[in-house]
Amino acid sequence: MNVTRTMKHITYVLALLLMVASGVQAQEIKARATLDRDTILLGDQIQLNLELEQNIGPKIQFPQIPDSIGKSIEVLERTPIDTIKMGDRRIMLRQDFLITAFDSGPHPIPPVWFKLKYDQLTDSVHTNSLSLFVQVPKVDLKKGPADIKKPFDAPVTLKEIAPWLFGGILIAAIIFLLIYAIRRRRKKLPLFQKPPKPKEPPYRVALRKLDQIKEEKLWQHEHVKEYYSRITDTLREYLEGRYEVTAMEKTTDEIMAALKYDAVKLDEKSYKQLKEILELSDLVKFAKLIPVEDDNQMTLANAYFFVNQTKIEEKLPEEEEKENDEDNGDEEVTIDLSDKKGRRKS
Amino acid sequence: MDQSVDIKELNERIQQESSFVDMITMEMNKVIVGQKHLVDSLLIGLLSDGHILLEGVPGLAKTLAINTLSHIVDAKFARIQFTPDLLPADLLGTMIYSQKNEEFMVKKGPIFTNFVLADEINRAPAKVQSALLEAMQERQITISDHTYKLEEPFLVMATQNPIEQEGTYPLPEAQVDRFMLKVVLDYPKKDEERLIIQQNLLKKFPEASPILKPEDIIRARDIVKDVYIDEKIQKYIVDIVYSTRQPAEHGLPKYAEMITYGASPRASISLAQAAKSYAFIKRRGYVIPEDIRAVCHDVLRHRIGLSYEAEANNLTSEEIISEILNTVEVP
Repeated sequence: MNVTRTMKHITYVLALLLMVASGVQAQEIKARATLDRDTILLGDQIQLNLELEQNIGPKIQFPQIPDSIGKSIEVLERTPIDTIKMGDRRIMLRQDFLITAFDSGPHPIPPVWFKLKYDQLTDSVHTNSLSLFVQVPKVDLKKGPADIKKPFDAPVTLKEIAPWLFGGILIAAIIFLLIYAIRRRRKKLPLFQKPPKPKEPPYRVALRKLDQIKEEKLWQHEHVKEYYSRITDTLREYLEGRYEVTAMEKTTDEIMAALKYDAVKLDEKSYKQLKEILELSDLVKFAKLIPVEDDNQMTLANAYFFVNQTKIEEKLPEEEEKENDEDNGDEEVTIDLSDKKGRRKS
Repeated sequence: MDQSVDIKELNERIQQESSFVDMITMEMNKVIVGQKHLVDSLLIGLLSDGHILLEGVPGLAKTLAINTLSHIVDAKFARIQFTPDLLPADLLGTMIYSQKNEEFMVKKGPIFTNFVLADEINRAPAKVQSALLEAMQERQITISDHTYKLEEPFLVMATQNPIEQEGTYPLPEAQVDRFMLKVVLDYPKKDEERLIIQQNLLKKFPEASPILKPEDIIRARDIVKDVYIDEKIQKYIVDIVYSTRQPAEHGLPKYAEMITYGASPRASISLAQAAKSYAFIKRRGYVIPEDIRAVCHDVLRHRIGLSYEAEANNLTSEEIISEILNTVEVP
C-alpha cells in the first residue's frame, strides 16, 4: 500500500518537473505569423510572414506550407528560409509567402506548427492563428455598366532596363572606339599615344639657340656664313612660333611684307631691326659678303634685342604649378581663438 | 662654283652693263601697254639664251611683243606662221637646182635668223615642230650634207593658243621641255585696256627704236654667266625640282597621285639660268631666293605632268608650284 502511495508521489513529481521544463522551453521559443494587412480586395496580393525565434540548439523542422492554405487562400511565391542572428545564442528563422484569395468573406489562417527536436525529446510550437477578410469591390448599380479598366502600367525597375542600358553603353563605346581607331589610322597615328609635351614658348627656344650660337664663337672661327644662317634660321623659327608667319618658307621680302599686317603689330624699331638683320644675312649667305666684326656682334645683339622686345611671356604648365604651390606655401594662416577654429586667409 | 668671283666688282660691272635693260623696257612700253611680266620674261629668255613659249588667248599682243623686241635689238627677225600644211623644208630650207650654175644650191629657210617667231606652233604637224625643236637644241641645221651653224643670238619665241584645240598638234612633253620658259598671258587691267584703245586710235601707231646690237646681248650674256649663285641657292633649286618628282617625300603627299612626272634636270639648269638673268635685270651680281621664286612658275609650269586625278580635280600645275614654294624651306 505504502509502496503504491510512494510510486504515485514520484509520478506526480516527475509530471510536475516535465511540465516546468516544457514551460521553460515554451518561453525560449517564439513562433509568430503576421499579415501585411488583414483586409484585402478580391485578388489582391499580400505578404504572410512566418517567424520563429529560438536559442541555438534544437533542430527545427520548418513546416511545409502547401500551395493553398485552407480552401480559398493561394500561395503565389515563397522565399527561402532566412536565418537572422539575434544575439550570442539566439537566432530567428523567417519565411515570407505571397498569398492571395479570390473568394470573398473571412478566411481563417490556422496556426502553423513547428517541430523541435532535442537530443532525445521532440516538441512542437505553433504560431498564432490569423484571419484574412476578402472584400468584393463595391459596385454602384445606379451608375450602370462601366468600361473595362485598362491594365495597370507596372513601374519599370532597374533590373528590367539594366541589360538594355548597359548593352547600349557598350555598343556606343564600341562605335566610338571604332571611329577613333579609323581616324587615327587615316592620320597614320598610333592608336594610343601619350599626350604631347607642352610646347616651349618660342622666345625661350630662340634665346637658347642664340646663346648656343654665341658660345660656339662661329664668326671668330671664320664660319661667318654659318653664323648668319643660324641667326636668321633662329629668328625665322621664332617668327613662326610668335606670329604664326610661315617664315621658314618665305624670303626676306615676303617675311617683311607678312609682318606689315595689322594683325602682327610689330613696332617700327623692331621691324627695322629685323629687316637689317635679314638683309645683311642675305648678303653674307648669297653674296659672299664678309662683314666687319662690329656687324657680327651687332647682328647677334640685335637678334637678342628683337626677341626680347617682341616676346610674350608664357609659362610652362609645370612652372605655373610650381608657382601655385609656392604661393600656397606662403599663404598666411591665422588662428581665430574666439571660435577655436583655424581659418585660412589668403 | 667659282669662289674667286668678286661680287663687288661684278655688281659694278652689272650696274654699267645692265643700263640697256631700262632702255629696252622703256622702248617696249612705247608699244606694249602693261604686260610687264611678258617683257621681263622676254628679257630673261634673251639673256639666258633660252627659248620662250607664250600662251594666251588671241589679241594679247604676243606677236607684237616679240616683233617689238627684235626691232629694239636690231637683229634679224623672221615670223613663221605654223599651219597644218607646213613642211620642215619650209622652215629649215632645201636644196634647189640652179640652172645658171648647173648645180644644187642650198636655199636657207627662215630659221636662219636671230629671232624666230613661231606663231601658233601647235597648228603645225609633229615633223615640223620636231625640226624646229631640234634646231633650238642643237643650234645648227643640216641640209643635205652640209651643217650650218645658226647665228647668235638665236632665240625662238613660239606662241600657242590655249583655246581652239581642234586641228592642233599639242607639243609632246619632250619637246615642250626645250622651251626654257612658258609664259602665260592674262588679259590687261581696265586702265591698261583703256590706254590700249587710245594708243590704237592714234593716227600713227608708236614704234620702238633700235637701241641694241646683237653683240650687246652676247656681251650681256657673258656677264649673266658670271652672276654668283651660292650653293645654298643651288640646294634650294634642287629641293624645288625634287618636290615635283617626289612630292610625298617633301611634305606634299596629297600631290603624289596628281603628278605623273616631275621636272627634268634641264628644269634645274633653266631655273638657275633664269634666276641669274633675273638677278641681272635687278642689277645684282648674285642670286637670292626671291629670284628663284620670281621665275619658278615660268620655268616649271610646262614641265610637270598632271595625272587624270589632277585634271578631274581641276588642279593646275600653277597651284602645285605655288604649294611647293610654300612648302620648301627657303635658305
